[in-house]
Amino acid sequence: MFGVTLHEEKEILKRIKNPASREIGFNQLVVAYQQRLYWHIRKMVIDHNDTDDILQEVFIKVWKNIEKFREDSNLFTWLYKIATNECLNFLKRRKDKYKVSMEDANKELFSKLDNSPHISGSAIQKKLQKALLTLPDKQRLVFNMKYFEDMKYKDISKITETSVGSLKASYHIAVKKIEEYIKLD
Amino acid sequence: MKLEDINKDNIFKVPDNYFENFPERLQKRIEETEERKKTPVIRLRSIINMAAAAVILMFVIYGITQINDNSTSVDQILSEISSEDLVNYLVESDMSTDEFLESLDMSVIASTEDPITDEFIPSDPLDEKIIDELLDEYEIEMQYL
Repeated sequence: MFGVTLHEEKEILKRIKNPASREIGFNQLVVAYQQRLYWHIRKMVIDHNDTDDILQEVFIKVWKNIEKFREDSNLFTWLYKIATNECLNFLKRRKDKYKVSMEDANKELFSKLDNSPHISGSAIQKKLQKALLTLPDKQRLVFNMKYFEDMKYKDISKITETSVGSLKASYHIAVKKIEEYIKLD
Repeated sequence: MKLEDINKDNIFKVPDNYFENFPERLQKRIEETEERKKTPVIRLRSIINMAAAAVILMFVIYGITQINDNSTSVDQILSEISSEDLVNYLVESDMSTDEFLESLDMSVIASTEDPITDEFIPSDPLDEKIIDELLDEYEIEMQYL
């Protein structure tokens, strides 16, 4: 699952649990998962620097709490859960801090989509991203995981702690809203 | 236009060598965070230890004081007087049994019972687990400062 085999995952965890190889093991964990987590966060917050900050926070939390990780659960699900929570907290903090409406916050991100040197893509691809920004954060999160990351509802369910039925409904509503937005000039 | 007609390719880019450099940058950040936290954590631990030591000392002093009080008022005085002298005094005195009982200081009698009861001693005043949990909580709070 997610490019790292179960065997590799166990090896990494074994190294982390051993104080003598803890740092090496943690470094391997970072190398193995940084890209997947980066893109997951980036799609939610759009800006590279914000993503970089959140990704560091995620791994710092992982470093501090790895002892609490239960080996019977999936490591990537656990990492994804931490990253998702950090993302949602960041988005909430940003809205609270600037006391801006979703519309105002989106204007800034729309402009980033159009002007950032770290964003390319065709006009329609950018329009899709803008459509996504009009969705509630959690709905956008579900859409990203299903549509872009091609994850199974079962796995999304574990990460978001939401039932598969609710996720399917949420995804269906998101697709409808996006297609309506795309039709607009 | 339908959603499936749009190219799914990732439109976001990262600066050159971002992923190559990330693990090292992260490592430095973790080291900095741990260095920064060391000082207040040590200080907090010392404060907890000192407070715990003070509480224990208070109990010890309280206990000793009680024991000393008891021995001064009853045991010590009695130990200095022989039983024979005591009996002679009571026989020769005009004091009736009722008067004798009245003259007794009831508070002294009460204090001769074990003054350090369980309720004065917390069952586990220095529970390491609780201290560690407090420290963990403190660390979590620290990172938001």
